[in-house]
Parts: sequence; structure tokens; C-alpha cells
Amino acid sequence: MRGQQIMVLFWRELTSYFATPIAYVFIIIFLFLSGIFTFYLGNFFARGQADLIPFFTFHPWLYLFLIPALAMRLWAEERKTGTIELLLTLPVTITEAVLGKFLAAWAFTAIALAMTFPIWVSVNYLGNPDNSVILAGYIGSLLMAGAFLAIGSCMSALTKNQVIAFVITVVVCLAFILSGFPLVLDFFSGWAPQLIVKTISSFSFLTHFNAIGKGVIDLRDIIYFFSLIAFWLFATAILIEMKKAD
Amino acid sequence: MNQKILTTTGLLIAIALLLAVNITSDSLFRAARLDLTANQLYTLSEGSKNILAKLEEPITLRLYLSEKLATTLPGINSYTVQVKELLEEYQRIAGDKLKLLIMDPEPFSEEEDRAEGYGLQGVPTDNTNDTFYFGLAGTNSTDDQEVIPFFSPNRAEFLEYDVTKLIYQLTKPKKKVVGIMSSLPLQGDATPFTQGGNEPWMILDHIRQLFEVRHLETSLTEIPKEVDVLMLVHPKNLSDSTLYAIDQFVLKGGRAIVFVDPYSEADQPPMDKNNPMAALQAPRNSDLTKLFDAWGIELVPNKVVGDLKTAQKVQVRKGASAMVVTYPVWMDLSEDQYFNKEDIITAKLGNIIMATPGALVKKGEVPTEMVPLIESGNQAMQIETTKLGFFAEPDSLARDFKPEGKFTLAARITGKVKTAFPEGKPKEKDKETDKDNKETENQPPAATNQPHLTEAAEPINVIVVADTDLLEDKFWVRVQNFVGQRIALPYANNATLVSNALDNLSGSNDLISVRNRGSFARPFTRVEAIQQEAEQRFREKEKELLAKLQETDQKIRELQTKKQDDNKLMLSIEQQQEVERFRDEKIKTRKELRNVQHELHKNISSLETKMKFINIGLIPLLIGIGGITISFLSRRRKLSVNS
Repeated sequence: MRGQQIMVLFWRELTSYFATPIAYVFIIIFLFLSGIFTFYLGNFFARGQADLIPFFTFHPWLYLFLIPALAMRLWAEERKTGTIELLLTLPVTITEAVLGKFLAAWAFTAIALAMTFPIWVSVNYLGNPDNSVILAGYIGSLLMAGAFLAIGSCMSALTKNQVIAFVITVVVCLAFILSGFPLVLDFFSGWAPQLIVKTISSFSFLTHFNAIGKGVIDLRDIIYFFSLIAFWLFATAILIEMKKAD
Repeated sequence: MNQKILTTTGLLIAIALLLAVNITSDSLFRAARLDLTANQLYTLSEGSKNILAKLEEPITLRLYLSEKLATTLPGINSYTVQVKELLEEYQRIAGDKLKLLIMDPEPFSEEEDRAEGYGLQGVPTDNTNDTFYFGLAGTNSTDDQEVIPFFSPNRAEFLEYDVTKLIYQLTKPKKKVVGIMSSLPLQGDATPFTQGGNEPWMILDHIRQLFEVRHLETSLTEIPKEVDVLMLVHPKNLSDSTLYAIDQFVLKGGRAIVFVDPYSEADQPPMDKNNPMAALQAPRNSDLTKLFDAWGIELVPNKVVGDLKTAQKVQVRKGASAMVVTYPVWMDLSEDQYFNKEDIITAKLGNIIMATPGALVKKGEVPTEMVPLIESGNQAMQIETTKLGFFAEPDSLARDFKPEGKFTLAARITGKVKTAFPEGKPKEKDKETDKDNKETENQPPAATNQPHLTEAAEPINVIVVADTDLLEDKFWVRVQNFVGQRIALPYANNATLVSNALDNLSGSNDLISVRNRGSFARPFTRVEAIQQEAEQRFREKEKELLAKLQETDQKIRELQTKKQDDNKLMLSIEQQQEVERFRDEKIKTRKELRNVQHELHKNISSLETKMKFINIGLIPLLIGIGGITISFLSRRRKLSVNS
């Protein structure tokens, strides 16, 4: 794995986002929806509390639909148009390609997330929030976005069809969001041993995201998100390798 | 084929690795975290650590938690994890001295019976008939027990305090001693002029339930050693020797709560039959000026605080008739804004009734901190004590009311102080010992059994309440006599304030330091400011318009009566027009008043609209415009390159 190769690919991907309207449409929709959710569903103003809880609460649900849309083209498009062969003839390994593409997409979501800064300015204008808790919220949100993207990357490598990639990604992500809830747990708690149930419930995006959002950066939550990203990226690389042979 | 097997095994290994990493990290990195919250909400404080370090006898904590039910309650599930991890943190720090057992009381099991035996509260869950347990029972080697019946997420900000207090109580199960020195008849009184004597004050009963009480003479020269907290009520004309004793007690780290009052309703000077006026005019104030100077505070003399917003209605006798007047110096403080929400003593108080309290202010260059515990509203006023009492006109107080600002009615004083007696122990001014004076003077001051302290070794911790009346029965409790038993029916939290303060003061410094560091409310200060300003403007306008409305009403009535006086059956056209005009004006004025009321919310909603527009509309719009511009520019560049 060579950092230089990853960086080259990373920049090529990132600038390609902004060469098409995709980037702008994505960011605009993300900002618009997060604003609507924060103010109307989250009652940001009527609550009268100087924190960003109503803002961050809806991030998992926003990501659930927006990130798969961003991730679906990562590999499916390359495969469909055949540019994947071109990509693989370049002097980069598959791991480098997977990492470079993932990092570019992640950096892009980071940019979109950074564009929500007016809400941070607003809350500081209205009251005196605990800004380090807000910072933690942003870190948690970014990590969660990374996990969503990694899942999306893998699903995109699975198929040539972007729509299928999108739908599967949404379903898998939903399972990860809800794995701490009775909806998913009831499915297991009847027969699986308590340890498995506990592990499944501990794999929820929501629990880890909320834990960071409280303002506590726990090493375990960081490990959770990074191990998840690593796993799904590894699976992506394996899938591409496998499909290449097809 | 070979490759497929390889990739499948690779994936399986990766899944196993993912699970393994997370399961091990879950148990391995329990303490590795960075608490970013402003008041270190999720980190065990030094105070708790110190108390754990001082544990001598082993303590067993039993956490009763219905784990299976907890996973079905998403709202409470994350709190159970927080509680469990906090307890594990306690155990990690205490080591062998603390045993933590996590029990899962299954329905109809022995464990469930035991949990109930400890007095834990089970909560029924809606979908099943199972009871959900989530409480803590602590025991020590001598089988004393303390419990937290249920960990309510609402008390999350007090979690550490509650647990540390429980542990602390298990280490020192002995009741604390409160020394009460009072010049008010707390114990009931034996004044010959009152018929049959008075009953002891209920507040004393209340304190006795939680503490051991010692009554101290107001003339003593040394505070007994066993006294943990000194409660000083209405200190009046204390001798220098007594003041010195209090001074030294506090400097040595003794905790004290002082109730002073610029005007105490309960302070009834004894009647002198020859001169009954003297008693009526006698000063009813108390102060501790000498010590307060050393502590860097002052009780504003001869003035009490009144507030119209919290004023109580009292019945007064004027001549032969009784009437009800608004009495601003009797205050029912029942809103959050009056209490310090960050101090455990006042954080959860409902209401406190105070009568003629004084104002506390910081004074001099003493390095102490005065943290207000109870404050008046910001529209309060200071009133001369001369306006109170037998000859006063109670109804004039509300009439002459002018809002001045906010005043501190009770405060916690902390910090390092110096003695109020820098030249050492004051000499006894006993006449009998006058003869021996020369001999005693020759003796060095060290001959007294206690060494003189000139400075506090540790920061002092004293609570000063500028009111004594809040202790009196009539301001907080109804007492019912039931088969010879006195039953207290409190309607204000005055006694809770006292027991909270004593509880808090009698605890160790460490326990006090584990005060509420909670996630207290962070309101939108800007919105509040707008609200306040708008409200004030509205009140002014309202007053103006109401006056106008009254005037108009008056005029219409005048015309109406004129009509009768003139004894005419019909109004002249002129008069009719006048009436019409006035009616119109009345309607107009009413409408105007409604408009003002409407205006009150206008500024806030316009701020909200602005916020919404910027966050939802403006930024996406700017990005859209930016994107279009960039693509337009790059297309033009491409075109120019092509041509």
C-alpha cells in the first residue's frame, strides 16, 4: 500500500465530485433536510435549549438515505461503464483503489457536514452551548457517516446496478441502526444466547453515535466505527478481486 | 474455484476478527475515554476518589437490574449502561474494599424477593406483567444498609453524588451532631407571659429525625468538640468570647449555617408591664458583623427585601375592619429562577416561603467566594425596617413599590479566611475575675486549652441565610394535633432547605465537592432577553392604555348619569354622538392592547424565522449559486480553449 498512490486517486475522485452537479445537489439536499428536521421535527427553537441535540438526532436517518445514494456509484458505475478495467490497469493495487475512493467519498461527506456550520453559529448566537459537546457530536456524526459509506462501498462492489446497490445498502444500514432496538433484538432474543443478543445490541450505530454525542470520546466507540469501516472495506476489496476473475 | 474458497474464508475470518476486536475492546478499554463536557460530567470526581481511598471496612454494592427487560426499553437502556459503568469505575478505584454484585432479579425468583426486601422499587413495564428493577443496595460489615430504590434517568446529573453519598453513609453510619445556638425560642418557650408556653418549633422535630441535636447556650466560650455542624439562629448581642468560639470553630474547618435577619417576626422582646411601648419598638434584627467582616460579606442593615411578583396576601386589621393586602416582604419563592440550580442544596427545591428577609452582599477585600443559593426576582426592592412592625401600614408597601433589582437572600461562603480576632482570644469581661486580671494577663494566651488559629487551614464552608422567619412554623407547615401526636403538613420546602444544607455541610469536604456538576439547562439567553424586554414594554403600554380605557369608561358613565339627572327621556344628538365616540374609542383601545400583546411574540418569532431561513434556505441557496457559477466559468474556459 503506497500513500502516494492513494492520494492521487483520492484527489482525482474528490475533484470529480465537484465537476458534476452531484456534489451540489447532494450538499444542498443534505443541508435542506437537516435544517427542516432540526427546526420542524426537532423543535430546535421551541425547546429553547442551547445544544444541538435536535440537529444530531436526525443524522442517522438522513444518512440512511443520502449516503447510499452517494456510495452506490462508487464501484457499480465503474463496472457498468467498464472503466474499472482501466482503473485496474493503472499502477494501483485494489486495496489502494478501495481506500482512495472511500477516503474521497468520506472527505466529501465531511465537507457537506462542515457546511452545516450556520447551525453552530446560530446556537452560539442564541445561548451559551457546551461547544466541546458539539465538537464531539460532529466527530461522532463523521465516524458514523464513514461506517455508512463503507457498507455502501461494499454493496456497490456487489452489483453493476446502482439502484440495487442503493436498496441493499439502505437495508443493511437500517439493520445496523436498529440493532439495539426490540425490532431487531426480538428476532434473536427468543433463541440466541444472551451473549449474542448483547453483542448484536451493542452493534447499533445509534448507541455508539449517541455515546459520542454526549460529549465523551470513548476508545471503544472509536474502535467500533473504525473496525466496522475496515471490515467493510476489506470485504469490498475481496469482492472486487473476486469479480475481476469472473 | 480455489479463489472462491479463499475469499469466503477471508470474509469469515474478517467477521470473526470484527467481533473479536469489539468484544475484547469492550472489556479492555473501559476507562479509556476523553470527557469533553464542560463540567466533566462523565468522569469520577476527585471527591469520590478520595472517599473511596479512605474506605476501611469492605462495602458491598448490589445493583439490581433486570437486564432482559432493559434491552426492551431503549430510553432507559443507555442509562443502565452508564450506571453500570460508573459503578464499575468505583470498584476499579476502590479495589478489594468495594464488592460490586450485579443481580438480575428474574420474576418470582429469590433475588426478586431480596430486592424487595432491601426496599427497591420495581417498575411495571407496559407490554408484560414483569417488574423492572434498577436500583442499588449497599451494605457494610456491620449490616447497615443504604439503598437507591430506583435509578431515575431524571436524576442522571446527581448520579455520582447519590452513589458517593450512599457509600459515604455506609462508612460512617453514626448520626451527625448539630449544635443549635439560637436566640429564638426554637425549643418552645417558657416565657411566663404566654399562656401555657409555646410548643417547640416543627423545624426542630424535622432536624431531630436526621441528626443528633445539641442545644448550645448563647453565652458559651467554646463549641463542644462533638458538634459537626453549627446552626446559628438569630445571633443577637453575642459576647466577644462567644463570637471568638464561633470564629475558631469555623477556622478549624467546622461547618456552620447562620440564619440572620434584619427583622425577625418571631423575635418578640419580653413585655415590660411598665413600658409596653419599649417592647414594640425594640429592634428585632440580628447580625454577625464581626465575623461577616472576616468572611467578606455583609447583611445590609435595617433593610428587608420585598418583591411584588412573589408577594403573599395577608389579612390586616385596619381600624375595625379586616382587609387583605399584598405584602411584598412575605415572599413565596416557587420558581426555578430564585434558586441556584447548580448547588445540590437548592437544585430541586420546589418553593420556599421567606418573611422579611435581608440582602447579603460581598464586602471588603476578603478572598472568599459568595455563591448565591436563593435570590429574589430581578424586580425586587429594599424596604426600610421602620416601615414594618406595629405602627406600620402594610398596604403602603405595595403602593410605594419601586423595582430596584435582584438581591441575594441566601448564599454559600467558601474560601480561605483570616480570624476576626487577630490579637487572640478576647479577655473575659467578668466583673468577678477583675481582681485576677493581672494574673491572667501575665499568662501567655497559649495557656488556654485551645491553640489560637489566625487563618483557616482549609477553605471554610459556611451557609448564610438572611432570614430567620422561614424556620417558624407559620411560614411553612400546618401542624395538626392528632391523638396527642403533632403531625406536620408542610406547604413549603423550608425544612428541606435546612436538612439539605445540614446534610451537605455535615458531609465530608469530599462529598460536598461531588456536588451537582449536572447538565443543567442552557437556555437561549438571547430569546430570554427579548422576552424580558418585550414584557416590560408591554406592561408599560398596558398601564397607559388601561388608564385611558378607565378614563373613557368614566366619561361614558358620567354622560349616562347626566342623562338621568337631566331627567330627560332622550339623549340629545350631541350626547348620543359623544357616547358613540367613546364607545368607539373603547373598542379601539382594547384592540390596541391586544396588538401590544401580539407584539410580545413578534420579535421572537421573527428571530425564529430568521434562523430558519439562514439554516434551511440561505446556505443551500448560496451553494447552488456557487455551483452554477463554477460550472459556467469552467465551461467558458473550455470553450475559449477550444476556440
